[in-house]
Amino acid sequence: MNGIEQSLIGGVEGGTAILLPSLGELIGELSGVINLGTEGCMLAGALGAYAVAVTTGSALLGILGGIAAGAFFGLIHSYLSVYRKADQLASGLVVWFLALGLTSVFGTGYVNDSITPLTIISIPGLSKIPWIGPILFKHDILVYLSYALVVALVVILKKTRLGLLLRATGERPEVVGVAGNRPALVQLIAVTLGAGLAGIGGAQLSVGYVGNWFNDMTSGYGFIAVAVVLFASWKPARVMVGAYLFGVVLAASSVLQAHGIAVNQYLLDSLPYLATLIALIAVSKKGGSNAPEALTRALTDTT
Amino acid sequence: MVDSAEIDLTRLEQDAKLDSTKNLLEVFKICKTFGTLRANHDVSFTLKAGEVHALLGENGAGKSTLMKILYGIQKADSGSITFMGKVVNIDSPAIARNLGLGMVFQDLRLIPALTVWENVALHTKLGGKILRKNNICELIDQASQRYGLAVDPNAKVGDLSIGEWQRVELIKVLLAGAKVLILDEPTSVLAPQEVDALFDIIRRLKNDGVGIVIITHKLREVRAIADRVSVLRGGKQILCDLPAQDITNDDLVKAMVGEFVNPITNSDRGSGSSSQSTLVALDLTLRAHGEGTGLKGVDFDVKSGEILGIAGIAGNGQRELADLLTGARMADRGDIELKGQRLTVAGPKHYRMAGMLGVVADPIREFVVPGLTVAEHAALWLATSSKKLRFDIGSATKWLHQVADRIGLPLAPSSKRLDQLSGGNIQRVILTLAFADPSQGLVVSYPTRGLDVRTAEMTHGLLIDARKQGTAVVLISEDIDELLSLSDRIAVISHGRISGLLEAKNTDRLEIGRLMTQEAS
Ligand SMILES: Nc1ncnc2c1ncn2[C@@H]1O[C@H](COP(=O)(O)OP(=O)(O)OP(=O)(O)O)[C@@H](O)[C@H]1O
Ligand SMILES: [Mg+2]
Repeated sequence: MNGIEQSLIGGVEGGTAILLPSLGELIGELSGVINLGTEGCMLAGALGAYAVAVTTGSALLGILGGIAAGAFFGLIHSYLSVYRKADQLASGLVVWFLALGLTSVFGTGYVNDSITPLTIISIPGLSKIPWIGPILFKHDILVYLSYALVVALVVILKKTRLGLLLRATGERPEVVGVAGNRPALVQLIAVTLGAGLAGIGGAQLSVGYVGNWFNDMTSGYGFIAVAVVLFASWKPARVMVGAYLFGVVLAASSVLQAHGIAVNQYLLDSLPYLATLIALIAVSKKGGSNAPEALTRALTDTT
Repeated sequence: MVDSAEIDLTRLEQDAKLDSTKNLLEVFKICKTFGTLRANHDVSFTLKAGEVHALLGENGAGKSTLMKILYGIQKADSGSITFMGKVVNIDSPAIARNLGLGMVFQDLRLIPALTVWENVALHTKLGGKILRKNNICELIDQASQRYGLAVDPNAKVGDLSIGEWQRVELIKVLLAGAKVLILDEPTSVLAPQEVDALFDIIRRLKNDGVGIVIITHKLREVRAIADRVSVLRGGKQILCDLPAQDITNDDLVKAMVGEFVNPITNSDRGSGSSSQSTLVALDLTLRAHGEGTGLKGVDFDVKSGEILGIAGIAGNGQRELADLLTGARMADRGDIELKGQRLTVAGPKHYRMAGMLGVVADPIREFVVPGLTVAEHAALWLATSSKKLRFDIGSATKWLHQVADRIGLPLAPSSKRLDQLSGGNIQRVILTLAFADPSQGLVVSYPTRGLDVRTAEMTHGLLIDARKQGTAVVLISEDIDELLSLSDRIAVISHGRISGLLEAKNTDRLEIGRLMTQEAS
């Protein structure tokens, strides 16, 4: 196995921990609410999953714990920003700090625990395909879940009334209200659901890819997820590409280190953000962005 | 007449009991206050099946508020609504829709980022949970054929003109199937022939037994379509359920504004202007793209102290002409000169600095910055013609107040967000800014759009004043009567060309109409 292949495998594995929160953030943003607390929801998910896995001995049950923990913080954020009309950016940051603090307090007890991580499932047949097989079809269950989610999201957004309602809410919530729907409820559900996905993303780290818990273990993945949504101009398939791209950059840096190639660690660490910057410039240069019109705007009373 | 029509509430109460079976809708003594402002004060009216009921009143009289209460967007402080004999509590648009109420809002409610069919699907629940696109598109096509509302279901709504938005709104509401249809100033954005088409639709719906409430500022439209009228003034009821034929136009105006309004006309049309051309357009040519015909070599000149009217059917090059004259777009060929200075050498700021001002055709898209207040718009307006870097909202507010006092159009508070004002109130802000200081040239598109009778006449007065002060005015309008009474000369535009240049006092509707529809030669 050469370094490139290693980086690609790691890219999918670690990229999934970016892809899941990105999809969650995409759902929330399409409804008009940005969640800068995604990082916090991931942290909560990582610890929640790990704690449940330690207690029950099952990493699979841990995933449920991750969903619940992430969704809980998402609920806080959506309640504050949708129903209390708090500033979305401020409320998101509050949720991040809150989750960071709480997971440090409650996580200390789990730092030295160990678990049996999620098992690697090789898809019969497909995993035998040279190159592609190990990269795409030899992973834990969460990776396959993320594949399914991308497909499901594409279909839901394009083909269903639910997807139309979601997109419409992010564009002009007052029109959605006039049509007899409840935009606030749509936003609450979308953000909470999205935060649940961020929670699974955290679980992918703690009970999957890394198989361990330590403080602040998501180290910025949640913020990268917010950037990926922008990078992908709010399109699920492009979110997938973006997440893997960041995943590969992150994996490549550890592969380089493992091979003893001296690249400045700080430079490597800054690569994802450099990529984000370039993506931003590219997106803005194209002119008209695809952003939902009502993104970050509080609902008015008449909706 | 007006006084005797003051409503007798006990009688109304009895009437309501008597024919509650015949009435589709009974609105009784609705009150609504915003803070200290009484937007509706004991307002009542009834609507029968197959009836067109016109709701009239000045800007800010409370018409839209009453309709929003009916549709469940706003909640009345007191009063009752009876629908088909049952007292109903309309707390949300969902309830209104289930009852069979449909509403076309004054500020159209569509989502620009979505296609026509997606907007229709969102509003109508057509096509099921899994959206069957072909199904919806077919229904849209059927409706657009049945009612003569041409739209492309696959077009993105953001790419459509306001007239087309209006059509999509109508299709959307018609497909949702309404027993009561509320139309809040549906004609203010339509060209005259589009208004005729709309009235045909209304007549057809009437025959189907739909009850229709229409809000308009134009008496001609009341005469053409309304069976009964109700009038509000300052939130209070002036007339209730009066058969339209029982009241004269003069009395209607008096009911609306409380006094008789003299139509303002340009009394010395065709004389008094200097002989020197101030504004000269030479061979203006613009390729057609999107809607509109583009321009094909348009020449004209406007003298100082002259109003040149531009008549034509919408989409024949008026938009392009206004854009070129204010620098919003650059011509492919041709020149514009103001007082001998070439304008076509730089962007809009250069036009403004040279003394060229404009009143835009489509305020929502071309003027209103969502989220900014009236005062901030005034500051923006001042910044465009200033070299200073400072963006001073405080002094802009002061300036706006002074100007508003002088101009005389009542404005909404300058701390209000412009995008949340009614169309009429937005238009007043735009007019106040454009007429603030005397200018060399003024290009005015549809100046009285959304304005009530009195404000419309005041605006006509402002145009005459500008003319007296020596401004070269280009007046673009689809209202031929307005053009005839104000212009010195009228240029008729058709297919992007000037098809005739007429002395306003020597011509009439017929001749203008003929030139407007003249085929391209
Ligand atoms: N949501 C609101 N909050 C505060 N004031 C409001 C609100 N909506 C309307 N108003 C005020 O209530 C009054 C009536 O407004 P409304 O929109 O009903 O007038 P209108 O008769 O429809 O006028 P127009 O002809 O200009 O459309 C106005 O003074 C307006 O500024
Ligand atoms: Mg109104």
